[in-house]
Amino acid sequence: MPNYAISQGFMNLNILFTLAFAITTFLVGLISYKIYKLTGRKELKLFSFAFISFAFAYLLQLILGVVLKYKLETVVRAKLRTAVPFIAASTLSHELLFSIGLILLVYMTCKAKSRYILGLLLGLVLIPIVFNPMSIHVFHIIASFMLMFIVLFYYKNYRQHKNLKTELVLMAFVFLLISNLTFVFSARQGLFFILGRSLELIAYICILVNLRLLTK
Amino acid sequence: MKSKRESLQVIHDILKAIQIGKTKPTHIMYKANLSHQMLEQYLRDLIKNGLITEQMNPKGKKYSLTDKGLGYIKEYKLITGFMESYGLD
Repeated sequence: MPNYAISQGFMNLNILFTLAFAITTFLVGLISYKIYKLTGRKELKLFSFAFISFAFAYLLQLILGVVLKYKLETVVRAKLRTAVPFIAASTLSHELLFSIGLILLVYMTCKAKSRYILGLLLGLVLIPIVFNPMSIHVFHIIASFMLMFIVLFYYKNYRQHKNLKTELVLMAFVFLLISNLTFVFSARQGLFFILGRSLELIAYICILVNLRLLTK
Repeated sequence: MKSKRESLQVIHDILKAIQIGKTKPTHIMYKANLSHQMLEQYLRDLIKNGLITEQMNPKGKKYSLTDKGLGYIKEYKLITGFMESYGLD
């Protein structure tokens, strides 16, 4: 986020978007955990951890957004050097949490039962993000790659159960995939960031509409 | 072996049977359309998950719903809809 040259107006809107994403993903995680407690099915536990991981990732992004808006403008501007490690740590934590969420979803959608495979996925995805100085690009490329598998899974799920609810979930992950691909180019061009965030918003609107239909 | 979706339906049928007063194993077995062996397995799982409780009396075993079991019946539509939407079934 700190690398993007975007307007202050969109930064304000972006904070609201991030809050909405955090609430939506937390809600999905919560419902999934509630169903896990009722049914005892382990895949629901993994699924809830995945979405709660997304929620915490967005929460971190939200905190960073608020701090950048209110603190950096006044107090820290003169001490930018002290703010850089905080921004880097928050961004990296967001990337790691979001990646963990995606790994859990990939692991679940692959129907893999081995914890060794989960460990392998965690290592293969998280190590490059931690040790690569261009981690923002690496993160979005790896996230897009994982989202491709998830989209394929939800496409198959939609083919199996053709209805509005499965279509909404498929659309949500397609929009998340496109938004992540857009973010790859966002460090050089702020417009891509705005486009990516808008697509992400559409994705979470699809998820919210799906939740509304489920709880009606 | 039943699929996950069928198994959710079977659990729902067992719990509904108990809810309407069919508390003896044979009654539940007919209501849920299960073999004796499968019913035993399901009942064990439901007790383990805290959805039902088992009581022993001179006339045999009787089952009753817990609050969690009632919650399952109440949220059944959400459970199946959510699991179908996210490919968890």
